[in-house]
Amino acid sequence: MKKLLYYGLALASLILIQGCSTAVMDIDGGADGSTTVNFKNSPVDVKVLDTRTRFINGLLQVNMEIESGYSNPYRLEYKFSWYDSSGMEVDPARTAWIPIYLNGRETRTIQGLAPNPSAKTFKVKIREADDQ
Amino acid sequence: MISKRIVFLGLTLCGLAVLVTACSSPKVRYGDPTSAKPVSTDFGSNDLQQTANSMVNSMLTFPPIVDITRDRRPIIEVAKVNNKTMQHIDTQSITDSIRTKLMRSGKFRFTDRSSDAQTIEEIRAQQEKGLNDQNSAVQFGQQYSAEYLLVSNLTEIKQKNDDVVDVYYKFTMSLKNLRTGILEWSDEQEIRKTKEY
Repeated sequence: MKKLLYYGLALASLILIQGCSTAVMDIDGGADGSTTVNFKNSPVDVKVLDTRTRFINGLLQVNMEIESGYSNPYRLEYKFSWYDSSGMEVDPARTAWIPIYLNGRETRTIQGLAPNPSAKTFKVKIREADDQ
Repeated sequence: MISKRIVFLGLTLCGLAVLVTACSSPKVRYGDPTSAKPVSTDFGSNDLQQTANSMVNSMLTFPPIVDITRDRRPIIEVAKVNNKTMQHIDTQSITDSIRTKLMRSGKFRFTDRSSDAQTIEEIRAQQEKGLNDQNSAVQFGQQYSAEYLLVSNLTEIKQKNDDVVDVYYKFTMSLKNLRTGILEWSDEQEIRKTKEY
């Protein structure tokens, strides 16, 4: 009985530690539409269904279709980062986290446009909203 | 044996108390300026960033705008936002962010009416104070004129009852051709914020 209590306390501690952190899931992508998903132990439960890219007036545009893994409403935040041909980040720390609300198992498209023509690859960061 | 268990239990509880305190005690620290965490239903920093981002992306990918920016960089003047909400919002921040993003895309050039007084003072000083070589002094009437005007409105609809406050914001922006009077582009950004008691 007491063992059970200790396990319970340990679990409660873990939940508290988890509650204070926001782990981010990364999706790296190139201008050809190829993507690599890095979950990095993130609790984010989404599936990347499709990624499409094109250059419009010299600016890289990305459409990424994601699907919620939850059957309940899911509040997430995402942001795009952009990199030039030598891997340097373009306009770092300028893009804001954008909130997105997904209904249970809903599929949505998130869209990003590179800030200038030097961007050739991208990274999408997704995390759970604080009040999730 | 029992006393050891009591000590272990005590230590675990202390550890939990420390964790709870660490997560809840007031602190002063730097935060993420791009954070999307809403603090209230008022128009906040992330709403501003979302709006600027959405407007710029829409404008830069609109086919007629792609056409006019393919071979040249048109000149734009940004008009002050008409704030039709009940809040005091520094709407200049929104247009400043939009202008900065558009300028950094390399597709447009901008004029700035807000610094006209300083510009006149500087040109007058170059011509009249006797300090500048008059061959290189800037003359009045040489500046380029804006070809387009970026106009915008911010409105809100607020509904509330005892349990919920619901605020809907709508930011509308249009690009007007000053020569023809035609609106070349227009788009809206909607944001809904709710607060539950």
